[in-house]
Amino acid sequence: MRILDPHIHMTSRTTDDYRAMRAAGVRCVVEPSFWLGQPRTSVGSFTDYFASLVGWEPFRAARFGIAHHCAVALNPKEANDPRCAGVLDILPRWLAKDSVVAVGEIGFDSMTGAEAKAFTAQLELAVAEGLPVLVHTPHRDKAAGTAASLELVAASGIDPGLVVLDHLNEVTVGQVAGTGCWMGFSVYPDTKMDPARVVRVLREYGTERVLVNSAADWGHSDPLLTRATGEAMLAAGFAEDDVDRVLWRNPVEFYGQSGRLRPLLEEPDGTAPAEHEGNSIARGPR
Amino acid sequence: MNAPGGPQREALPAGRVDAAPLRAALDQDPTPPARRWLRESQARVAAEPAAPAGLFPAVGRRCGRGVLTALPDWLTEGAARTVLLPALPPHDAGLPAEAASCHHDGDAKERRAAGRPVPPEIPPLLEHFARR
Ligand SMILES: [Zn+2]
Repeated sequence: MRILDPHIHMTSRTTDDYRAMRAAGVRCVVEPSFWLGQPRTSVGSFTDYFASLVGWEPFRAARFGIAHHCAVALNPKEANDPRCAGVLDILPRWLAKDSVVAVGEIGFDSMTGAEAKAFTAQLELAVAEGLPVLVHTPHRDKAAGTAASLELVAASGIDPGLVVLDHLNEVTVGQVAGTGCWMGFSVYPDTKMDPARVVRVLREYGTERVLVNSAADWGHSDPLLTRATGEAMLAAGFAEDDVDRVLWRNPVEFYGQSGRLRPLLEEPDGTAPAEHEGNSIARGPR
Repeated sequence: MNAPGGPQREALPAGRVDAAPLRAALDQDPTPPARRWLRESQARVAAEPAAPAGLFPAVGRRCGRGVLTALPDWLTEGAARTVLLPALPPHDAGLPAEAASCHHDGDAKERRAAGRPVPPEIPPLLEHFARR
């Protein structure tokens, strides 16, 4: 089973996770920018975060045989903090980087005016840069948040095929299915969507324009739930080819629209650089 | 993890070079769309001081990463970034903020690519940016 996890926050994960993901079939990840739990107080914090997403983290992933790409954005939650408003001004530089394959995650958190403003501004940046967009749908009031997101997407004029609405569930998938946007499902342990629920949605809606991700981060989450979903699909009678489509070919197609996705590392296994700008993940003397 | 060593610096060749051969070499080598992109980018940099921020990281992708045929000491992307620099408007109080931040946030490759003898028409205040 080959897997591209189209939404995972590896900055918050350990080297054990990278090792286990590689063993489970993960060959590529896309890491969207998001809220770090602790509110940031200045634009400079974002600059260093973005630099890490295009520098240190791809290096770390490559050490474990995984290609790493990212999406950059001002996330919905911090769009409400005036101290972070300047992030919108520095985004063009980061969106131009080679390993950036999308704008994201953007969207609504509490459905405020500031969130809508940042959402719209970043849709414009995506159109200007020709990049796909990852839209986070809110955990509270998900149906209203999804509807409002679809309205802003339509108003922006962006090709809906460049947009994924993520964290969908059985209720909101129907709102997105006819729009031409992609449908993202984040598989979580215990609550929200689990592998069995995703399989039921796939039975009803098919495998076209569907992305499945772990959305693993610093919270209760599991980076191997993409693999678990593939296995649940097989157990439910889906063919290997269906699994490959959902877990590999679909995300390759979606992010491939950037023209920048390299889903497989160029170095053969075990030959990735041991250092990034003079630093390594090794301990002790080299 | 090892102690951070700070950004790596490369030894720079001494002296300055004329940008004309760079332009001439760039006129032959990259594909027509790449040359068009570079021309438009030079115009944008001249008209819009914040433009380099969004252009510099894209130069390799747009213009090519290989060695310049006519000037094998140069990589295409390094030469292209270097000819983009003179279009930046001069500034009397130090580096233009956009150029400084572009350098400040550039990755090692973006810095290295510009780490070459500097064409004479680059304003002295930009030399710092061009040379690192
Ligand atoms: Zn996320």
